[in-house]
Amino acid sequence: MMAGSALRRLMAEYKQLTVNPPEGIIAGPVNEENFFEWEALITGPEGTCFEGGIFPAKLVFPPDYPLSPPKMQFICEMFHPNIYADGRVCISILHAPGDDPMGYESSAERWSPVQSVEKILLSVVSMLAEPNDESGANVDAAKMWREDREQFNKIAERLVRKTLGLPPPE
Amino acid sequence: MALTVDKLTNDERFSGDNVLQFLLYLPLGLVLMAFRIVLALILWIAAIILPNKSAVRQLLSTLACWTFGVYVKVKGNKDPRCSVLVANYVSCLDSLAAAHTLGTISLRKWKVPPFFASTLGIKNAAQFVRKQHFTESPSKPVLLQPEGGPTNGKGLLKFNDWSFPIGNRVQPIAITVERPFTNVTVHRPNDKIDVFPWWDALWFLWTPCSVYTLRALPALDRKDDNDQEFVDRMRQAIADALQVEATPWSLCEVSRARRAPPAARRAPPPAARRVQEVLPRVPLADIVRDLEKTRSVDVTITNFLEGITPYTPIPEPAVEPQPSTSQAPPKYVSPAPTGVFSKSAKERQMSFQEKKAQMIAEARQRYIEKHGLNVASKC
Repeated sequence: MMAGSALRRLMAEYKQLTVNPPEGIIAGPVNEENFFEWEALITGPEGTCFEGGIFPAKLVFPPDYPLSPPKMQFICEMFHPNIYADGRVCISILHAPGDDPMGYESSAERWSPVQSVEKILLSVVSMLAEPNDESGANVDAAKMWREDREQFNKIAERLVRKTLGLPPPE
Repeated sequence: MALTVDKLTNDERFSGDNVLQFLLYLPLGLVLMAFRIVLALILWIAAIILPNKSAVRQLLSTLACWTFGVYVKVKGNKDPRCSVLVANYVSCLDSLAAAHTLGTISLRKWKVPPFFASTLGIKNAAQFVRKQHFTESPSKPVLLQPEGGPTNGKGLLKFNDWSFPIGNRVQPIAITVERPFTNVTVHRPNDKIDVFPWWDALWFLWTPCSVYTLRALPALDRKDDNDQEFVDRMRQAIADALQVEATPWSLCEVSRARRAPPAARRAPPPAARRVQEVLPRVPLADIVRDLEKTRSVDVTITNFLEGITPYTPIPEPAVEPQPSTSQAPPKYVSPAPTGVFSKSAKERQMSFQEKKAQMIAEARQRYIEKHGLNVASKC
């Protein structure tokens, strides 16, 4: 019953994302046999160091979705203050109100059933554009973002090229 | 069945099959009422002209009981050391019943003439100062009914705050009332708490008699409790004696629940709830309307998603106050489809894979052009 309503909601969101895709984003189930595991491609926002890259990520939905948020993990190499080394994304919309690992998020921007996959992906795009260097998902990246932006941009460029199957810059 | 807040009041005076009894009794009732109205007028005049002496007051309250057909049974003994009695609230004439048998005085916010008030055994709460009361008539205990207003007796409401500090010894009283033969509800809720419910009183005149049972429970000592614990103990004692639940609702909540339109009181049908789980921004009313047409959760979801059924989206919860929030949401949303969502899972899968590949290829091409790379040989 619970999974049934999760499935229906996911189907509806998939349809919505397919029919009206937000710019630079596509998302859908990896395999429709299992609707609880999705893949998303996110274009690095223009005017940022991630510009032009196509970053693949995996979304895993709980059986009680949309009551609980999905988990999101990049499946390409990432270097970003709010992304763990293993690719897991740390942003407030993916946290249910109540669990607040960082203790700084306001509950207004947390996960609730009125949020959606589309909103998560759009939040991730703005996270790529504007890292929050107070959240220490990747301390090295946060430090470099603060102190050595040039080096950070270089790494980002290498990652962008990697996602496009292009050789790293000389 | 679980007790809910809207079950604490009766909207109709009659419940069930007693309408027939009512019609049979009607002519008799009217004669009785006419007689009692005369009696009430005599009572009214007597209360004005007779001196305010205790013997006279006893006479007047007996007369008032006759007028309103109030018959009171008392069980248990009043504790002479208690100056405060606490009771549940049953009807507008609780005070009369208690004043007649226990010699108490009750506090009300009703604006009734003072002579009439003293006949009913009430005092205006606004003018009441406890100290003054005890210097004037030290023998008269005060009856408090902290529920604040009457219910149909199926549950005990939360107690109001006390208008003055309570003593260390309080006697709880459990009041019940029944109307033999007619079984008409003693109280119908109205919105004004500070006005004497004249309609309820009129029904008292009409019914042959209303039998009150006042059960005096053992007095409670405060011991080491603070106010709240002491009040909770009183409330529990009364609820136990009445064999009803001590509900978590206050009088405000009861009257608010009654004022709410019946649709809001009813839970949405399960099918509508399922649609809303999927489409949280579609208003429930629109979902219910569309479901009536389609009778299918899935068809209704499709209708909303594809813009076949228009709806006004529920505004999103405020995320962050941003200057751009002044933009009004569109009145009706009919998304203009830019992509195709195939009916077959296989085709969808194929097109998803294709789109992914296409997106990467296009991005790669753009990147190469922008940065003037020469990677043609690598492809």
